[in-house]
Amino acid sequence: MIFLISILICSIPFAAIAFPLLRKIATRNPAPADESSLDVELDRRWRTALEGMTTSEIEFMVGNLSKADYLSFRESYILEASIVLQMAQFSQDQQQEILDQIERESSQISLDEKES
Amino acid sequence: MKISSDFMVDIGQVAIIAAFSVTAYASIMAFVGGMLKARDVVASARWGFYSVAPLLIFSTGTLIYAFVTNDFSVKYVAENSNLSMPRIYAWVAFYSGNAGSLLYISLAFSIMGNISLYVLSKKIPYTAPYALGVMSLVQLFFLSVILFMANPLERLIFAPVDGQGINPLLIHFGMFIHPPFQMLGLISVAIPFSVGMGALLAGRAGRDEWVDQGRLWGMVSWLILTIGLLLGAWWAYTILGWGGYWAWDPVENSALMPWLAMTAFVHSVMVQKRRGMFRMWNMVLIIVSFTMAQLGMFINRGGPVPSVHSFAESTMGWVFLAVMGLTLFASVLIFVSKYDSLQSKGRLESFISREAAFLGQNILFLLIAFVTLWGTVFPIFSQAVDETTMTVGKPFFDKVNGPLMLLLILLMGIAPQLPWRKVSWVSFRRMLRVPVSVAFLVCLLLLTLGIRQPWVLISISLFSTALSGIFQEWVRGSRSLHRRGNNWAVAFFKLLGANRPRYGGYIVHIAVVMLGVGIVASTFFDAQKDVVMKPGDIQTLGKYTFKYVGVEEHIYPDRLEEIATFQAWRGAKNVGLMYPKRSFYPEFRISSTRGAILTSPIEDFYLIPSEFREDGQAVFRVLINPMVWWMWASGPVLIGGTLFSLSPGRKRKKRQTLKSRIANLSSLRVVETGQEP
Repeated sequence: MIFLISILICSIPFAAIAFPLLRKIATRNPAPADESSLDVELDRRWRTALEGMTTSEIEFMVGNLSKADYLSFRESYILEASIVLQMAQFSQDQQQEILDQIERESSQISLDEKES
Repeated sequence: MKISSDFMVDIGQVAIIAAFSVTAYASIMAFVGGMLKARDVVASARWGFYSVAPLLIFSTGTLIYAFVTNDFSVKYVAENSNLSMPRIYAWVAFYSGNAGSLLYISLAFSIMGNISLYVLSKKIPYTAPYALGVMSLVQLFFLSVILFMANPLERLIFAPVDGQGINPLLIHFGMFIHPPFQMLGLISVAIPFSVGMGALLAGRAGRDEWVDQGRLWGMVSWLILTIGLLLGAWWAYTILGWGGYWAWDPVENSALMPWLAMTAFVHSVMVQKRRGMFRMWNMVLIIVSFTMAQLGMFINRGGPVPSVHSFAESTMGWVFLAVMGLTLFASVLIFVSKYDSLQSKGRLESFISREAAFLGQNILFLLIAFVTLWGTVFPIFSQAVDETTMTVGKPFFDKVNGPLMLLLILLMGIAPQLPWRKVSWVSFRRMLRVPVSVAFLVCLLLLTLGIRQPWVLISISLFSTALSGIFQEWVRGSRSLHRRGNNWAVAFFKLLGANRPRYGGYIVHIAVVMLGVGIVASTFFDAQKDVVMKPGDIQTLGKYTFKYVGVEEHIYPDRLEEIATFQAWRGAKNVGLMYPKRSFYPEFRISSTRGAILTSPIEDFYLIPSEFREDGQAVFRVLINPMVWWMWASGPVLIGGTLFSLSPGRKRKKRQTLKSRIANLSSLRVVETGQEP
């Protein structure tokens, strides 16, 4: 009896690991979107820009930001959103190239600012 | 049909062996599948990991069955229960000893791991295999210890007629909730750690892919740790009967340290989410948090640090320490090898910004954690240097950590109001005008009331800064929405719903202020006196008068109980009878004291019996602890705030991706112009 029940218990993990291999349940479905793909990255940046805009609006509404600060933040988030929107219409290779270019330029700007 | 416990225990053993084997398989195949991008192999490892939970639930069931049927042939059952133990305490007995607590940790981790793995494989499918690999390795360690060093289903050659019994201090309903939360809290840190390490190993940490999931599981873990700590303090205060709630005991500290590091992490990860900064720092924080959680387990398992409530198994402690060292080494190695991919996207634009305040707050949290660590392990160093064990107590921790905590409260008051990136001096002054004025007024009010202690004045002023900042923002925001036609209540809830992570955080900050007020009031304004009384004697402390009516003795099979009766008055008002008691357990040769507490939001009147003498006299310790009630009330507020912060908000039909938005825009253009864009 113990032997039989032991086999039954061991069959639970065995079935669990064998089933996906035998039935190929993962490869039968389309591959999920890569979380590191540029599309996902752009989507993330898009959402961040929108959240940034919403947050600055709230900050302005509750009086934490002066109008000048609010407008400057809003402008920077709109710029980010429009870059993302433009990027999304390019091909993958172009996107990567442009992103690299933007990052190089922005780090150059920060270096220049630090030096000055 | 009654099933033999022997049979059940044997089956339970098989389930543990099966769980160990499948976890070993999952830990290898997850990495192999991830590296080879073999999705079926990864799915096989994942499903294998999923199957561990039912196996451990089964083996836990067999152990509890052995407790319920008093099967003393099981060594762990014989050591932790006896015939007189109420059956309901089989659950408490299950984790009251070392081996059982390890099985509990393993079980809890498998369940929580399954939930997190399910979410991770949907949200970050290419990082998830590596996270699964790390989780499996953690689980494998616990199952190895259970199987080879501390098996709760191990049998004795000769079964005793009766067991040794459960530690009498554990016979209380509080034990159903405090230890499970505490142990789950420590092991749950492994989940955000696995997410972070998984992202590094997968080479996918460079674009903040893991941040949302890291934050989610970090907050879940933080919440469990917080509940565990609060329940622990409540347990110490209401059950252990020594009049306090925190003693800086090594086991308490061992839970506090990872909590501090996790608190830093859940704040800092927001900076990465919003600004793409602190990528390295967040990895460091999650490594430190997990290391501290492991250190906590090491101290719990009877490491060399003396504590009133750790398991006395010194060899096992060293195994935990060795694995902690190995994990730390491996984590640092992985971190260094992926260092280049962790360069921050943004940069700190100004020191007057939310990210700068978060950085300052992070440093303070870590400082407090390391001071606590130093105080906790100091006995080991003193022993190593001159062979005398010197311990540092409450004064050291209070004096060093107290000011650091006040600085934290200061940042807690200011930081949430600072915007991201930078702020002009005009805005900065405007946002601080009200909080600073309120703090000033509160300080003046306290001085007028005759309060002169500098620490009290500083801390209460800082608390009022934090509160007024929050309320100022809520009032201004609600007013603005009210002007747009909403009634005040709708306007307020609309405001909260507009930014749940932020305002959930504010609610948590209110809970922290409640906790802080309780700590400050009970530390600086408590009153205490020891009295010797005989029946009929009347004494007073503050505005309380109490009369010792008498004592009754009750003899139970396992203990001798002496229950004192007091009549108490607050001013002239009779507040009823109070029953402090003291029990002696001859088999364990220990006494336990249960204080009687008359509690209110203003203050607690606390009576503790110290000694009952044969001549009828008795010694009591009497305390007035102001505002402790607020500490316990902060718990639900804190839980509510965290859950609100994590809640997804109004359910939308389906979140539009950027691509679909563009597609929509394009179709709009077609409609407007009648041409393809």
